[in-house]
Amino acid sequence: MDLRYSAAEQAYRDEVRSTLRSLLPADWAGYGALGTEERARFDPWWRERLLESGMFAAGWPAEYGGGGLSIIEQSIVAEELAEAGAPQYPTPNDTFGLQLLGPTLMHYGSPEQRDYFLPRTLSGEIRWAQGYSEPEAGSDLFNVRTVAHRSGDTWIVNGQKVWQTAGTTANWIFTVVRTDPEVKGAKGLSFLLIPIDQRGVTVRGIRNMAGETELAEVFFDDAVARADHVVGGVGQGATVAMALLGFERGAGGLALAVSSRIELERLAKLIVESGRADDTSVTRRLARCRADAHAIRCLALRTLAAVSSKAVPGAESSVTKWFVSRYRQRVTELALDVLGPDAVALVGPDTVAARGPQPKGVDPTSRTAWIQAALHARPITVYGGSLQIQRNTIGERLLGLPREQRPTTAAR
Amino acid sequence: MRFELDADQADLAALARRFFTDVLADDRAAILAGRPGQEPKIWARLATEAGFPAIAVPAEHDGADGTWLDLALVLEAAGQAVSSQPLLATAGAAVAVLRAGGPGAHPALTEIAAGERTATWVDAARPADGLTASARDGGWRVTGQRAHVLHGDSVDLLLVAARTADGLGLFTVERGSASVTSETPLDPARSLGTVVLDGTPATSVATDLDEAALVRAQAITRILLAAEQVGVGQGVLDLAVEHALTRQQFGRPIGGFQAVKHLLADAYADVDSARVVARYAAWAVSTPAAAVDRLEDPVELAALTCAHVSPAIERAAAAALQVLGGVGYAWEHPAHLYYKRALSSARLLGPADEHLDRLAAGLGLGPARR
Ligand SMILES: Cc1cc2nc3c(=O)[nH]c(=O)nc-3n(C[C@H](O)[C@H](O)[C@H](O)COP(=O)(O)OP(=O)(O)OC[C@H]3O[C@@H](n4cnc5c(N)ncnc54)[C@H](O)[C@@H]3O)c2cc1C
Repeated sequence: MDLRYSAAEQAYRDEVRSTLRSLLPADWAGYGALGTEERARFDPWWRERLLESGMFAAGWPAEYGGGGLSIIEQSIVAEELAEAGAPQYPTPNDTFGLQLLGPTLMHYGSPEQRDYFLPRTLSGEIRWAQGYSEPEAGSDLFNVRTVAHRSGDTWIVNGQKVWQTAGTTANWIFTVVRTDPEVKGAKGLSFLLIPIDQRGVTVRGIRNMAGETELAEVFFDDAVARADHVVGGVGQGATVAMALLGFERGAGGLALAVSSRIELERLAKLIVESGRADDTSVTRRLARCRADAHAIRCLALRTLAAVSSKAVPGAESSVTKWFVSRYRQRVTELALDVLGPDAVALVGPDTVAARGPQPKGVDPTSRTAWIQAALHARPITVYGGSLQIQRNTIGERLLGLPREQRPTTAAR
Repeated sequence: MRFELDADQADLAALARRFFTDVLADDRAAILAGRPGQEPKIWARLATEAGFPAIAVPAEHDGADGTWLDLALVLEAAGQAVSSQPLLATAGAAVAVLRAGGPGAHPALTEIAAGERTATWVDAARPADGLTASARDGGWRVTGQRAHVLHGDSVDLLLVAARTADGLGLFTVERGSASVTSETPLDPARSLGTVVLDGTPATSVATDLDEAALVRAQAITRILLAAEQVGVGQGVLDLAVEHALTRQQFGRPIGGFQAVKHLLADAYADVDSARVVARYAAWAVSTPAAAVDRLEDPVELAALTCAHVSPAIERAAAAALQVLGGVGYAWEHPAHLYYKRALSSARLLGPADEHLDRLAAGLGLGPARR
């Protein structure tokens, strides 16, 4: 066991810190301190700065325009950005293109797919949404009804996806579709890239409970996709789709620990402002959250170390998700309890729609910010494998308990 | 960067698991006979064959010069078996405070390393207040009392940090010369004693003890206890999982019922995250040079660790009892030993609120901030 950073990695951290200092405006107080209009101006500008400095697409190889950084260096970049309160993925579709689809194309894509999509994703010309979920395919991920049938050089797609984050700003969608209608479940699926700006695709925004149109549903009526835009081969959709989810892991955990700590410092200020600095019924709950944030850091170190030694993070990532998702709810529930009777009305500046902690700079006394954070924390135990699905995974894959019935994914 | 144990650490952990499995039957017999930790044969094997007491003793005292992490791994294995041996007290608390006493050679460390004597620190939980020492007739006498001293009624040597006219001193007292009464412990596998010192003869280890070093030794002891707690959680989870796989009701193994599976999944996640937190802490206090980003001060680290580990292991043990059904309530079944160890460990070295108040103070809040 050795969690030390190498001298080179330490030096790299210092370098990132000073780069960020030189890039950010002199009076920078964190993204959370910007107003709505300032944010709209900042986002594209900052995206360019990150691109120039090699910190955007940090893990992509240089030949694809990325930073070519190791996983540990990527983690350092993410941590330092969180520490500075500057966004890592400034525009809404960046995470899907950079974190998820990019690595998937590098691993499973054809040379033509890489050459076409990677530079355009990097430049922002192509903006991705993730098209996995459907009305009948939620936790039962592969119960996919959207079908694609081959017609000459194209796929003709019919069906519906739902819950696409940033779907209203996307112009491409990566999907899991059924290319073999004879087979149910995980077989007969393909991973297909579909342009959204075409007649056969309709995107309708979905307003979330915080009032933001953050999600979308996407309808396909004889939508057209190119035959050679299947990634990883026809019939390999489930494999590619699962692999994509794995690319999410590793580099972001320590950054989350940093932003969780920053959030707790902000919550401590709110407690002081509320005159409850000596109320142990509140301060001890905050202390528990502090210990939780430390546990998030330890769990993140485990994952980072595993990924950096090329181990494939397995079912242990379910433990991290189990812990982190419930923590988001615990800490924001505490904030509402601190607000007490003031939690019933939204007062104070609006905030960034983020499902993680709000970035540095948010006014600690903004009731709106804490209330929105509490609302944003609810779906964290639902999406990306609900809490119950994580428990099934832990019970079955880590403890070896009898498996659940899987009528639709029993294809094995 | 590597979180997994390296080969030597993994070997040590495996050796320790084998050892505590080997002696399990004899240890349990002693526990059930009301003589926890008082089976000299087991301690002799533990000391001479396995060399566990020497792990964290520096080489200059003929110790193994290992790390706190090494000892933590052995204590995990001890916890997994709810061992009644005074290993945490001797190799952990006593060695930690003796090392805090400064570099001067002291026979007690050498005797512990050789496995000749068992020891405990009467103050692993509290500050030295209320214990005093004075020089008399060319020797030292200590006065004061402490309840719930870990193995206080059975070890050979008591370590006492006491106020002197000049400051803070560290002393050893022969248990035989103190007045010690055995308590009836909640955890039948861990004996406790009430120690009364009344001008009791003592040997000086250090006379100018640094208060901060003492507090640091307490932090290390807490981190080592956390490692043992992780083992307790793992042990009781193993019992419950085995039961869930074999016990059938309604025609199938109960582990197939999702309500049971999710209880166990939560317990697994609690034990797993507690292990990650406890090992991080043991590694961090074993790593002197600050090539580590954001390394916490040991006292803060101990508070963070205890605040996480204690409730997690208590929850896991309670979940295991639920899965075991009626049999988990039976004296015959080992589950209660785990549950009681979890309950008592969470409280043994100071109340949870103390850790929480320290953490809140770090954020500028609460009663401990001034
Ligand atoms: C904020 C947000 C963003 C999202 N972004 C995207 C996106 O960008 N792209 C995308 O494709 N999808 C996205 N999703 C969809 C998300 O992945 C699904 O919501 C999720 O998989 C759960 O599916 P569901 O909503 O259909 O719920 P269901 O699967 O119907 O689950 C409902 C309830 O039943 C429980 N349940 C289901 N199956 C089991 C079982 N076997 N055992 C025990 N309990 C079970 C669940 O835990 C849950 O509590 C997003 C969702 C949210 C909320």
